[in-house]
Amino acid sequence: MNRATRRKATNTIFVGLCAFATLIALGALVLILWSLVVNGIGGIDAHIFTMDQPAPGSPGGLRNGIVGSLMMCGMGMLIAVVVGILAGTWLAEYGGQTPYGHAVRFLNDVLLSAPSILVGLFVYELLVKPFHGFSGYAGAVALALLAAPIVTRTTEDMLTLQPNTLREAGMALGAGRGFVIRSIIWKAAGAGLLTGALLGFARISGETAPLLFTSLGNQFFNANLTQPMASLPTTIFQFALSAYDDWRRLAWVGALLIAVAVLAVNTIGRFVARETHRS
Amino acid sequence: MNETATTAATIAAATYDAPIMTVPPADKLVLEARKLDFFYGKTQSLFGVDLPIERNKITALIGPSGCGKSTLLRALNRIYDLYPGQYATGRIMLDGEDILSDRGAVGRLRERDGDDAAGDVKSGSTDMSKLRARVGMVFQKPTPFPMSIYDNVAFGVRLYYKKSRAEMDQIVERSLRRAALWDEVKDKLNSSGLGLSGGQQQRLCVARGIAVEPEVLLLDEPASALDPVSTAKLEETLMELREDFSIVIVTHNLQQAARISDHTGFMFLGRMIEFRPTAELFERPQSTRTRDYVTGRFG
Repeated sequence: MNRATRRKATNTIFVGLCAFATLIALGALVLILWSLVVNGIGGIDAHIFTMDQPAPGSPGGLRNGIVGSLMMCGMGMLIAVVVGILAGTWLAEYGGQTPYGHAVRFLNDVLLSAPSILVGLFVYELLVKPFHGFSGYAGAVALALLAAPIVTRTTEDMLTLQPNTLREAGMALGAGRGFVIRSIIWKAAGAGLLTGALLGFARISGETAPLLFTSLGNQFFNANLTQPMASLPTTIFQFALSAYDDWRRLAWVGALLIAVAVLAVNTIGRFVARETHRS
Repeated sequence: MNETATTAATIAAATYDAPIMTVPPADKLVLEARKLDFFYGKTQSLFGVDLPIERNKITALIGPSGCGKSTLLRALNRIYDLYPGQYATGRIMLDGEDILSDRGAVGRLRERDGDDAAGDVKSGSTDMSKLRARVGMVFQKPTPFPMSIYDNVAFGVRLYYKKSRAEMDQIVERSLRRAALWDEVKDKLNSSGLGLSGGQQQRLCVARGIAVEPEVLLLDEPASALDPVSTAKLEETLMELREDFSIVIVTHNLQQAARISDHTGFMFLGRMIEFRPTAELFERPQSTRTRDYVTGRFG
């Protein structure tokens, strides 16, 4: 066997292995989505969005969970994006190379992989026990704690990618450091910053454990963040483990809704990022 | 930027004659570096450099890589302030005022105390922004901002003046015309500056730099990333800009220096070797080092 044939054969083998590995990963994804759609699509009707979770055997929907999830995820993301972008910017542009900066980056990485149930317990001690009650705010803070490290990390990475000459060019015109970052660097890294936020959202949208200790769940409709609040993941958790068929059907619908929401937000986000980058 | 400990050792070992300088009359100078030393932390990379910049002329800096041309240029608007540990001593006179006076000392103190709170200018930041309005800079790689062509040009102006839309329109058009870019972009002022070709982007950066009407425009190898046609266009633009601005250009391209500049400084290992009117320096170099370099015997 000559050299060229041997190289060709090696190439074929490795491409084959890569394709196989990809297939395994994609296969799992397809199977998950497939079972979600098969089991969930049948349960979707107008009641899902207009009625709250029912008692076993009665008609009902997921309105309280959907609203609770939207409110807590929305507020959690708001906190996470503000904190994450500021922290990431500080790491990339100001103090990242100081001892304090290294410590912050290390702790952020630790937080990045912290078990979510511990975050839930932490917020329980911080916001639930002192105020004698579970609340939507506590849930939002727990979710923010999970998303902020992701946003911080991505922000730092994306800003570090921006060439130094861009900063110099801004400052060579007489702009201050902060102004250059806000008006040039953030803009140049816009798509990347958005990606960070999307990753954060994807991470928290299905989180159950941290909510169990913080927002608890609520079988009634509640849009008051100071009170215990329902959410899709906790509802799924409760319904999926139940003995009632209609509850389990609703759990499938809830899971499908979360998957669709994450998919939609990601797709829209990427589309927006690409469009704004192009114009 | 590329100076290393080895160059420092080489410098110490070499002997140097006094620089051969033909300095234009003092009243015609807009900017002048005197006995300028520059340090990247502990590494010294400029050694007592003198550089006179004559008003409304083009001054070229040539020399082999690592000789300190870019360092010298970056000292002239103190862009090095961005980086902790970099500092200059000596004098840089801009219209009779020493632009190093406040921070030269501060830089040294910081170096000594190991304070590396990234180069934010704490005191006198307004002076720094004024300085940069008077001494503009264009970089080796085109650096259009991620915004429209119009906003790119208006960026610097908006930092200093509150202009009406009509006034700003005028400034943008005038700057783009002077940078010889107007005809190519007048119909797409609102599209992104990133969509332009490399040569156009570089002329956009020139337009952005001159929009604030600086006295001096510094260019750090502005054509090295451009093809010959774009280079010719840029050179033509610079020759015309000489009417209104004083230009300092660092270049690796000897023909370019010979074509467009009025004065040329030849630098070697952090020192000014010879500074004379361009034609004289290229036709009758007095230092052997200059002669070797311009005739292509080394570098």
